[in-house]
Amino acid sequence: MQEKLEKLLDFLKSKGARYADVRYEEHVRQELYVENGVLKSFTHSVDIGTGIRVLYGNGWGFAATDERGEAALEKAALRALEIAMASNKRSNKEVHLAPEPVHRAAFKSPVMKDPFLVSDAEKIELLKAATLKMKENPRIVRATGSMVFRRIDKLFLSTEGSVINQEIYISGAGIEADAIGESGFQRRSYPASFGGDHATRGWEFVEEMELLEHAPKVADEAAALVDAPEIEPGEYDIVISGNQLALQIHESCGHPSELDRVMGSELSFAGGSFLTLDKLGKLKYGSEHVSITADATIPGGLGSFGFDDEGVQAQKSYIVRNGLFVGYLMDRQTAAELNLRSNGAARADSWSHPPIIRMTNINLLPGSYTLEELIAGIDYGFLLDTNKSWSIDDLRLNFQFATEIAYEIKAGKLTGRIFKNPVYYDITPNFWNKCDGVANESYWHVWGVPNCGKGQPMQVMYVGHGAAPARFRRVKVGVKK
Amino acid sequence: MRGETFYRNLFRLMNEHFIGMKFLAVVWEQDQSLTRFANSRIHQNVAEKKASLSVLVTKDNKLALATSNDLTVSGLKSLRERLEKMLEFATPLDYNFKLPDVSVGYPVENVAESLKKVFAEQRASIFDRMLRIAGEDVLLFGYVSDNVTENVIMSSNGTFLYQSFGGVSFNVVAMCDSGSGYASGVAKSYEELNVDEKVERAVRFAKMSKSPVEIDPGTYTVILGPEAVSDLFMYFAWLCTNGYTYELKLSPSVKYLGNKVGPDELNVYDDPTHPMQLPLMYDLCGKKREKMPIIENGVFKNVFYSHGAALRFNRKPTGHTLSLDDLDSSTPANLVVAAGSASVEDMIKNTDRGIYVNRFHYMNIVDPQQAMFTGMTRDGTFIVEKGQLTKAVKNMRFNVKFFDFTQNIEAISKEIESVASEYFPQVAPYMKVKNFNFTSKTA
Repeated sequence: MQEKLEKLLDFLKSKGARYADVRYEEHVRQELYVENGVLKSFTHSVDIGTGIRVLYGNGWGFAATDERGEAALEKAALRALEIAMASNKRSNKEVHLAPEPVHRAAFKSPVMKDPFLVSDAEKIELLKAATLKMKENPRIVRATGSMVFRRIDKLFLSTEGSVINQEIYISGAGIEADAIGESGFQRRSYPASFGGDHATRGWEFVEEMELLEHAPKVADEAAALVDAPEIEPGEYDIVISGNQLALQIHESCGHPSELDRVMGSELSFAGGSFLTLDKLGKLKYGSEHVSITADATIPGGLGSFGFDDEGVQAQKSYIVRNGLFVGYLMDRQTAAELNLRSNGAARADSWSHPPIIRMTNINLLPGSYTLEELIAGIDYGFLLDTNKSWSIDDLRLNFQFATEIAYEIKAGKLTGRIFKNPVYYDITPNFWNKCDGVANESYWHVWGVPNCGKGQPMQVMYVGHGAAPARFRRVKVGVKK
Repeated sequence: MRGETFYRNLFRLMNEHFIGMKFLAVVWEQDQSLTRFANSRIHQNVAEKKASLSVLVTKDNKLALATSNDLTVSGLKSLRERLEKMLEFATPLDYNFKLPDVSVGYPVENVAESLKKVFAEQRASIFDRMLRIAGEDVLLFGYVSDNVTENVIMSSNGTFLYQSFGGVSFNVVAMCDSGSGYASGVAKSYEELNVDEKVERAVRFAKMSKSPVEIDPGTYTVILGPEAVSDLFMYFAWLCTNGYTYELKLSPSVKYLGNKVGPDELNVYDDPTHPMQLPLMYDLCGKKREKMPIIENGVFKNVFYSHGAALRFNRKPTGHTLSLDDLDSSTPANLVVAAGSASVEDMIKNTDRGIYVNRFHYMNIVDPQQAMFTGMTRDGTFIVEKGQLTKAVKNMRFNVKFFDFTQNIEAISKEIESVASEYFPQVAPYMKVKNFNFTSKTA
């Protein structure tokens, strides 16, 4: 295939392309979904194709095809070129790419147990057992468990001479329990909601989750939530768990720091950003406890890889350092506009889409507290756990999150009382400036978010968020209904 | 387009290579292009051509599903091998599964001739037209897109159905200093796409919404544009019309189905026959899709049953199986909120004090039990005073219970528009609604 693609790039150069790259990708995916002990959905998919990106003058074009013959590839290359020419005619701005060394390299996710070599029977049995365990609670009407495994083989070549092979594995799993009672229905999930937790690791990642061992608590909490009270709306001190903070970081730091969004290219869809260029190095984004990195080099993080989809090597960089906003997520074009090197955030979810700026692993760095110490500092408040819903405005300022459960804190201790339907909301910099403590490394975990939507046509990307529980003062909880 | 003849041949090959297996197979083939612009210049311009074949097989009441984009004979052979292995490990379902009844219909082609050969220049020329409308002091952000889709449903029972459809869509945010306006549209061809009038409105809203003022959260009378109306009803349809969750009592419809939930004038359909829709005529189980009421004369009439849910609960499938991965879920693909009798002009004229909302942003479900939705306003929010749009308002967050919202509808417009919604195209009117709950504001 490499030879075929090299020819394609030579062909595009001969037609006047200033730059071109090509990605040949094979995606294999397995999904299992068990409900109440019954395998309800069992799927296997293979998706193979080639995406060709061309810069002609100052216009970009991209075309993708699932056909593999030389004639079909040449046809797709010509289509990409024709599209780039139409873009170039309307271009009123020079396009530059930040320099990147030529790479001839390979990368493979750190997999101990290849999930595609683990028997289907073992996977199904684990999900059946976990869901039946939850179903032992009579209030549980629906107990579900799911697993997703992916292998992505990518071959990237550019007219600059890079040739990069990558083999990325993804494993993910989770369980959920839906309970019903006189006063309605409620859900609890483990280890996170909406499909659980995911990583660029192997079957060992799923084993470490101990789904079966956690199933009874998940079911019992769902059942107890049905009759639990709601929090009286007001301002409270709160501790937010790592699986919820992951999404908080995602929405209120990850997305606004994408430089393409800052420069307007997402504006008609998901919006712009309050982190405008004038704020770089000046905005007090959060308190001194808040340091946030973009780090694609964390072994096993869902946003980890060897090279991004422009052939830029994976890196670690700071977005927020001790509360100060200091950096963006960039691709080669936006980095060039700031005279910087790209920090390797250009990613495509498939061979059929062009790379756009995506989060890698965006992490709130750990602090020095234990969870008990964070709770001990609260006179009256709540520990909020597991995301239920999320929403943030088009500049990423006004956010509102709902979580599955709130645990009451009184006089520095968890009381054992729980509350249903907790909702908290704030304005992004106000909120992060209220952070007065983050738990230490032993609580820190890179949570995988496999469904980050961005771009048109919509791309669904897998990203990671390192987080430990953190404490925030006087946050609005509850909404008037 | 490969066309019906190609797929009839594939059907023959399927029968040959899957002999002895009970199967339901679905092909999606798409040729889609999209030109995206920001700061009034094209920054992304893409085309993708791909096909995928999904084969669901069943044996001893077990299911397995495999998908591949290799439509060759060797691709079919490896799909069969993969499925045979999967069936070995699969476990039986907890209800009596059977493939959908045989369904054979005429091929349906809904692709405008002009869409069969579209070039990047044509999309770019629409963008040129938008720029001329905007003028020099307004920047444009958005996209223009076209697609041709072929869908084929085949089964070992003898079902063969071919449907193709094409569509074009656009959206645009017009920006002028701090002000912005938005519009979107969908049509069957570029000739039918109403670009000029909608871009003019987006530009007008952008110019009107400079220097927005802050207002306090609270309940207000609102006039919602079709974009905002379509968002609310899309979330309602997604959350509340799934027959499977209704039967499990995990849906708000348990409380509201069969009840009067809004004024007589409120009518909501899943309607593939609507002239402003891009019709999906068969669902993935080959069930013919027909106009079906969801809310009729203000009464919540129906939830929908996919193939799996219908078998489980002894109901009739309604033509809403849109995923072979999950045969229990159902989704309306051609949502239409019907026109009422008011004019939007009169709605505004008759409002002494209220808020006009052009569009919502980032909606989500806060509490599924109560169908409580949240979201923000964006790209054109104005105070209505004494029958006129006056000042622009800074964006506000709302939290509303959907069935309180429908009970508070005061007027529905006779004007309806096509809207390029995030998932499926929709048709919606303007609505005037009292007691709309804004709960916080943006700094």
